[in-house]
Amino acid sequence: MIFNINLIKEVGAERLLFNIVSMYPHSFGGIISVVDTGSPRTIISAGAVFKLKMPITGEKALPICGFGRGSIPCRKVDKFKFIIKSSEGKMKSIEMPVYVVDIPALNNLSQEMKLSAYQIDTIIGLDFLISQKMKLVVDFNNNLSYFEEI
Amino acid sequence: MTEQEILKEFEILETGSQFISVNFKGLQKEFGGRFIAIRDKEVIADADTFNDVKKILDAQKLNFSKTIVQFIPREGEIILY
Repeated sequence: MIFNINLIKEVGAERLLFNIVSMYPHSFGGIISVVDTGSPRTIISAGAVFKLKMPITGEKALPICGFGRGSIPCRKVDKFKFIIKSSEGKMKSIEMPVYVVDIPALNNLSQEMKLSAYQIDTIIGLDFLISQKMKLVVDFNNNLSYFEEI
Repeated sequence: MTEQEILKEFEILETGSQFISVNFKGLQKEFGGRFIAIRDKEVIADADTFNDVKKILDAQKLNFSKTIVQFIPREGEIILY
């Protein structure tokens, strides 16, 4: 199956946008994420945690460094459930560990750090490709990008 | 959640991400450095902070959870994660 990715082609702001729907208990809703092969882990943004009212109950993880400006407190959620939709309209259910921005801990930081943290999108990292046995195709010249199950 | 509700979420996301993708340059010009709320291919609110966008939507009695909120970087500003 193929799962399409939207490209932002603006020079200097190139991005790969991928849609997921959270099925995490009490936190149903859509998230536009950024595919980032420079990130080893998938990270649910402060904005998404806030919007979906995700309960922050996972094990405390080391802050994510090099992530925006400074480091951002986060927690590990072992079983994050979400759905992705194929180009043919079929839905695939996924459960995998993710990191979520720890909003209560973030609230203890400076206003500048909070602002900075909220500017960062949800990130689909390399762990998604590995755990879901997907390959990633990116062809900016032909305006084409997608995940494909191996 | 029913399949219908999930498909509706995908519809909102697909409309929103395509709108951002196609109009990114214009969005940067008009809203660079701000958070915007998008619904049905339209920017319905913008503010300096994520929270302020929520406040605007709440004041207009619009459902925050069914709206796409995105930070738009300034023109020429490269954001690395």
